[in-house]
Amino acid sequence: MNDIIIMSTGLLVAVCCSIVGTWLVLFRMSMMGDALSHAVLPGIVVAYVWSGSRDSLLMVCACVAIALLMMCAMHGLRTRGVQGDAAVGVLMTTFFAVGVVLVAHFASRIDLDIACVLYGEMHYAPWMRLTVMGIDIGVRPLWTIGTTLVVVVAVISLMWRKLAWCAFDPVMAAVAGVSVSAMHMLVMGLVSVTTVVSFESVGAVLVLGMLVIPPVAASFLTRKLSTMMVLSVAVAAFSAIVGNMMATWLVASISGCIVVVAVCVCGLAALCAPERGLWRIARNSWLKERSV
Amino acid sequence: MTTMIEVDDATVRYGGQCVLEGATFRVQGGRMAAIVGPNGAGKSTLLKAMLGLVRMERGTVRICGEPLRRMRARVAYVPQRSAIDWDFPISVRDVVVMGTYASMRWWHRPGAAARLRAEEALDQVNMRAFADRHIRALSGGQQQRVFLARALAQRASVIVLDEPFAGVDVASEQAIIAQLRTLRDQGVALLIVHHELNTVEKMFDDVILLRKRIVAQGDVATAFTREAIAATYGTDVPRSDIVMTRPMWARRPEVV
Amino acid sequence: MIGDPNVWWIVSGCCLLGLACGTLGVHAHVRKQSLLGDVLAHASFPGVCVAFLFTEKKAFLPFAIGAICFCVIALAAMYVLTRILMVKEDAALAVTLSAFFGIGIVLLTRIQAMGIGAQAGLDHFLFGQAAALIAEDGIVLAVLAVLVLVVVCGLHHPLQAIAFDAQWARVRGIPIAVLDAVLLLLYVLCIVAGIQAVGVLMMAAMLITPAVTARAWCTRLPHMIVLAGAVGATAGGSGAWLSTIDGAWPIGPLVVLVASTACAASLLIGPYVTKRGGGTI
Repeated sequence: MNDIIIMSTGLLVAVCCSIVGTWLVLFRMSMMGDALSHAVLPGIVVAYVWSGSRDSLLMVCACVAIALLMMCAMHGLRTRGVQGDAAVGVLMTTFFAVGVVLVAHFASRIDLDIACVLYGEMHYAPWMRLTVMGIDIGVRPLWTIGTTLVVVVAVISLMWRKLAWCAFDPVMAAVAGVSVSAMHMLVMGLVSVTTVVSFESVGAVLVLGMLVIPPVAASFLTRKLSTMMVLSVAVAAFSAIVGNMMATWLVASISGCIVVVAVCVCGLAALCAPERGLWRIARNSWLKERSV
Repeated sequence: MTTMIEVDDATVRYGGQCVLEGATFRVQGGRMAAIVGPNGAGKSTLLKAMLGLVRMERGTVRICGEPLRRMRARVAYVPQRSAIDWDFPISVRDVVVMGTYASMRWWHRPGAAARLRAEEALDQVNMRAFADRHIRALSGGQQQRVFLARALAQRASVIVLDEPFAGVDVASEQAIIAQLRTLRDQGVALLIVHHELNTVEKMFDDVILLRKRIVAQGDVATAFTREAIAATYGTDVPRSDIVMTRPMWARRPEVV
Repeated sequence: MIGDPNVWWIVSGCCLLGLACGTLGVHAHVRKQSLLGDVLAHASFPGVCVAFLFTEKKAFLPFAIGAICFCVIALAAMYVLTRILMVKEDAALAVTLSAFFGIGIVLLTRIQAMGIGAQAGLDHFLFGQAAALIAEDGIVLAVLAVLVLVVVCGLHHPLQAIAFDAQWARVRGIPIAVLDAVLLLLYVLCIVAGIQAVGVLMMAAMLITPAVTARAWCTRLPHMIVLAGAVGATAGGSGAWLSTIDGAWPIGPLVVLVASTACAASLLIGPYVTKRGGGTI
């Protein structure tokens, strides 16, 4: 039973991340995802210290607030002439450093291991219970991530066309009256919510791998948006299941194994994708050489 | 006059697609040559191939009769303005001092003589007063003059410029042209990618019309003909694009 | 406490590390490779783990070799992703970074599960630990700092030319590939030396933040390099000193916070910050 709970937690996290991550990659904001996943740490710690528990809506609110703060800071740095990548680097490390110092400072008052910050503690999932009015209603990660998945799917299917437009041709979308910055904020908001709810299962750094690796693997295999989304989810689900088994076999971090399996799938896709794979590219250039 | 630039059969492919095919031309010392052609005709590619920035599938380049490898110090290159990072922390003087690297081994440091040469070069383009400014604090024309000064500091015998007049005001354009003419009269060979057809005849001695391959080349008076331009740009060039500075009959009577 | 030789080693070691990273970081910054340091730091982590698996002890040399191997693989992966498979730069960075970190985490948890006695210190590579610095590391850091200063000063002119106008430098005959490799090797060495002091996750800040700080005050590369070196050294030294006051605080985040404070202040009051689109610089 516990194994099933752990596996379904991993599955839900991976699927949820891959759906959001597809848009993150399409909007070319992958490194912002990295920055956000680091930056939510101080939000989590502050909310934890304040409320004294992890299963609170407060935590999500605090993290969304931190994400907003970070985007404002990003804007401030950009208008002050800092290059985009340097701004991401500075902000990401600053926020994360604040979080780590807070964790160290409040170590006696909160039950937040520093290792959990890095790679989560998915194997404890069955023992994280959600209680509503004193009644135990089930496994908390399943509830939180499940709810997030529903919200994410609903928002994305509602906004699908606008998102696709903004990702593909932002100028055209702006001319047509779609607020491009609102769509950017939407994607960032979804990423930060997903990051927060996945935090205790996969940690702050590995969530980036779950966000970007499946969509990139899918992008090698297809150029069609809807197919890319489906493939990305499939890659994520496959790596969640196989990664889980690998983790049991190796006695290693579950989230780490999920990422490693996803990397393997991505590498395989890069090698043998039918149209744009390395093998095909090499073969084509060899054929061309020969014909010349 | 000696032949400074000899390019033979320069051919470049990007990913199987031919972007430059069999370009063969000569530029003499003391001549100013324009490379003219539509967008994507391979003008910049030709320059880059010539300078060894792009690998050629076949073809040879000789500078002053020697392979490029040995004559690098004699060739100066002024890149497109869009290729420069204008936020780079560097002063005008430092840019020009770079030009003097040519005459030393690459790991040596520029000394007092190099600085003096840089000052002289800045004087020649009237930019001495701006020597300690940051490059972003200059106008487009002034920026271009700084890069010309870098080429001057190098004391090269061949100067290659990629669209030097793009985004440059009229006054600076005149100043740059005047400086280039002085260089030409000193025997330097100048090869310039140019995109404005109506100034070609006023500015240049020779012209190379390019559209993947060389359509026509030679003296402006003989090579820059209506039909050559039509063949380069396709037949539907609007008349206003080509403002002939001489009447048609004075150019090639048999056409009319 | 000031008289304690351990404290002295730790503070001076972090100072030297900050100096080396700050100086090198300027080159990364002006070449628009700020996040490369982050990727390489994450990529060197599995290298350190693999080296530990083989040698079963903590030593600079095997760690450096392991880290260099994995960094080379990471750079190759980045190249294939961006140049051949035409993945966008940001996605390629994110994929490489998280892929290598995932591998590192699997190796780390595996080593912990194997229960090798000496593994106790390995997870300190993630956040760094002041106590991990010993006299030997101090010497390594000193040698590294000298090496970085010699290269950056000695090859200043060609390095500046490459960073400013790579095509021109190529026409000039400057061996770009060789100098790039030298710089990358120095980055990796700095990262390997730095991750036990400040941790994998904070290495990026050691490279980027001093450079961003310095850019707010300088418009010339040499000035920027000197200032960034000074900012890095100050941040390293004072962060390390702060962490020795309260032993529970990890050293890396404190160093980063000192540097970030300097950066924020500089961006607020520095003379060359709000000059987008002209003005006198």
